[in-house]
Amino acid sequence: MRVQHPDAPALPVETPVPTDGPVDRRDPATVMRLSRLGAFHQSRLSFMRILTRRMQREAWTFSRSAFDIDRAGVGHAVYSVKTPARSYSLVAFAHDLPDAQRSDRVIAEAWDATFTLFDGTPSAADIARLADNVPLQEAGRIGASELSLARANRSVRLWEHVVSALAAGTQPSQQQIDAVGYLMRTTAVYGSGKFGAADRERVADRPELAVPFQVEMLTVYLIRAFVRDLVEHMARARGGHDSVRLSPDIARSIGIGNSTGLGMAPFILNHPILFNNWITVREEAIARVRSVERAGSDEIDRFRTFLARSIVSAALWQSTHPVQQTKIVALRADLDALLARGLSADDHPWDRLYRWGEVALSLEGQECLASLMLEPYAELVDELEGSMACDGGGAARIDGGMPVSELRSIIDTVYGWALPIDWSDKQHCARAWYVSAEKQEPRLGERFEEPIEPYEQPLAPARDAVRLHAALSDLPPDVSAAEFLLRHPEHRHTVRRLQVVALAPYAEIRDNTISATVLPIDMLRAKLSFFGATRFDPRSDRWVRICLYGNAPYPEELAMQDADTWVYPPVPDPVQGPPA
Amino acid sequence: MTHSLNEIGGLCKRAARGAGFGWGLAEEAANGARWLSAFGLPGPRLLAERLERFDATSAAAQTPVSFASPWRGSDDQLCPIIVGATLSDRSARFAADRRLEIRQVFYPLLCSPFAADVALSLGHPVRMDWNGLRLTTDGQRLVIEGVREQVDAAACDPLRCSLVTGALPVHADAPRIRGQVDSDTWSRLWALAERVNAPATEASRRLGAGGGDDG
Repeated sequence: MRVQHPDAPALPVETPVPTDGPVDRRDPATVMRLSRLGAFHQSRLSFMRILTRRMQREAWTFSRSAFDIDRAGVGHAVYSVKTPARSYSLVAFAHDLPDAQRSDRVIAEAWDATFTLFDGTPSAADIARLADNVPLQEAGRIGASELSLARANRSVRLWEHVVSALAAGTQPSQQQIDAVGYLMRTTAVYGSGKFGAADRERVADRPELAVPFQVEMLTVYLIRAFVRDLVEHMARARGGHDSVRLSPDIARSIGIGNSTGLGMAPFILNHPILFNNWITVREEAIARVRSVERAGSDEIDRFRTFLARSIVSAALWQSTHPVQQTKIVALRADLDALLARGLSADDHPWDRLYRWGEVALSLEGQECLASLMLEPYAELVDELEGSMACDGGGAARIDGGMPVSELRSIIDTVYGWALPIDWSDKQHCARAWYVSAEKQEPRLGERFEEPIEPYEQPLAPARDAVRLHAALSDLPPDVSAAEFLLRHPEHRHTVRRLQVVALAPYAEIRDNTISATVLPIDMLRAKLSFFGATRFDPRSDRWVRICLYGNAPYPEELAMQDADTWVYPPVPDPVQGPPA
Repeated sequence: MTHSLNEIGGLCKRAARGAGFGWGLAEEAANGARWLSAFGLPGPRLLAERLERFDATSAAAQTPVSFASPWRGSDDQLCPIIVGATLSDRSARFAADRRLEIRQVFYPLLCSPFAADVALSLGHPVRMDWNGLRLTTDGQRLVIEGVREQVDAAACDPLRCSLVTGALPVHADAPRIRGQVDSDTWSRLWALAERVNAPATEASRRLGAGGGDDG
């Protein structure tokens, strides 16, 4: 089949995919289950880590060119960063938001702070224009020089604690900080042309922004520096000469919270090639490490170090969601078991460890192990970051010459699991994805209890593939897709998707996305793990709270602090594993 | 005011769906409008006109039924989105014949993005001409010659397509990563797009959304 789309998969992808070594990439039928995607962990290939490694490697320089904020916390600030070739500026607006108006919901209309990432250095006229628009978020308008649009709300409880402590000349309680993790949480970070912002294509060929979501990750990184400065500013306004600044260690432990709702779930269904590329790259990395014949003592030590730090991270991970609580308990036991098992150096040690994990560990444990194994092997893994993007807008061209026998064969291969399902049974189609008229917000509703079916979005690819299979069943095998689509244009989006997933084996989720039991948080977690998030805290089955950049170096610390593995918390005392 | 191509494509897709196209053809319509916008051509405006003019009309009546050149419909004029998608689907046959005539196509400019798709897949520029206008594209760039006002044509008979040998001239237009859609067109597309969205109810606000407040 021809590759017809500018977004063709970045790595050669056939199923199963042979690698250079003895171990293949994992079978998509195993990887692409929602339960496993919902257990994914950050790794060397996470977008935050890719960004901070690059910042340090290229010695990006940062400056605060404006901080015009009054005693009430109202005003604007500009944080600029110079990369080897360009500059970018976070333009931040701070507001005095009455508590009653503070909402994380996408339908909110006011926030504690609003932001845009400007392409270059903004003039006074640019700042004035942005001041009229950025605070309005969706109701305002940004342009081709703006790369993102974001807003954040305070954690009221922690904000007040930190301001009052610093104003009184004392440091805030580390325990209280750890319990929340952030002073502000973003409730949306929009990029890629939203609300008038620059299209992804404008920046996709810039090396520093070529990896997916680097605009958004840079925006949040700069927001974190602004939030630290703002909390210190407010403490000074209250305490005057008695106030102190945050100690660097405490400041570093503070990240930026993020409230992520349902919008991310349609994203991974609507960008199948992009999602395929992320998963393919991680699977390739896992296969390369499992193919290593002999582990050196340095690699084994490094693995043990990050295992110990993962144990600390798992101990800190709190969630009130019963499903996640169970998973965390299992993960803690898994990591202890991993520590107890030890690791021999010879005969494909990582492959043997992984295979042991397949039997001995929960899905959380298996995916944590898969990510951990990559840590000692920067030279095998990090080069893959260049294959994660997928550029070129629009939908893939359909190969109209493909015979329906081939379409049927793709359905059998990719959606074979869905063919026996009775899709008219209420439990298998209980939900429907739709977009609400207010704020264009993606929602998941109850098909048989709400009047939403006429508005259903095409986000049940397996059901649609089964419908197509039925429509093709009586046709002679050599009828072309073109002839079929002329009479059945209602299947056009499904035919296009089949041709995409035939080329991109990790593009499709191998589960029912509209069943009564679907957990959208599994889709959110998969995406957020590639951002580099840890300690996911689902607040229902359809939204999740996370923390970004906790323990990461601030701009002025980048040159001398660890800019890569900061995501693992430090181990208070050395943890000794059993001898290898 | 300018728009991102992402915004234009997103709005046009929802508008086409709102006007009754299936999702797959709505994607084609959106791709096309986005592509035309990148060349400063009035894809979104003509799409709005097409969607309003034949709103809720059965697409079947605007689909070609005879494929010996010239292509013809049953009696209505042919929809440029359906014609274009069909041409793209049948590009192998077009590559063999090298030329094709299509009778009675309305808003022929909306067909031209499919010429770009076909050109990219065949590796040869494709020309479409109608009413004295010639539009040639290799998929990446574009040349318009002849009666330029005919980009706005409401209909043509016939629409001619041909495979062109050789490369496009150096002065061919390159796409911009930005589009301009007038506010009237934007509101008309928006009105159609709104039909795709479910009216909010208190239950859907409470239950269906992903997000919440907890301090």
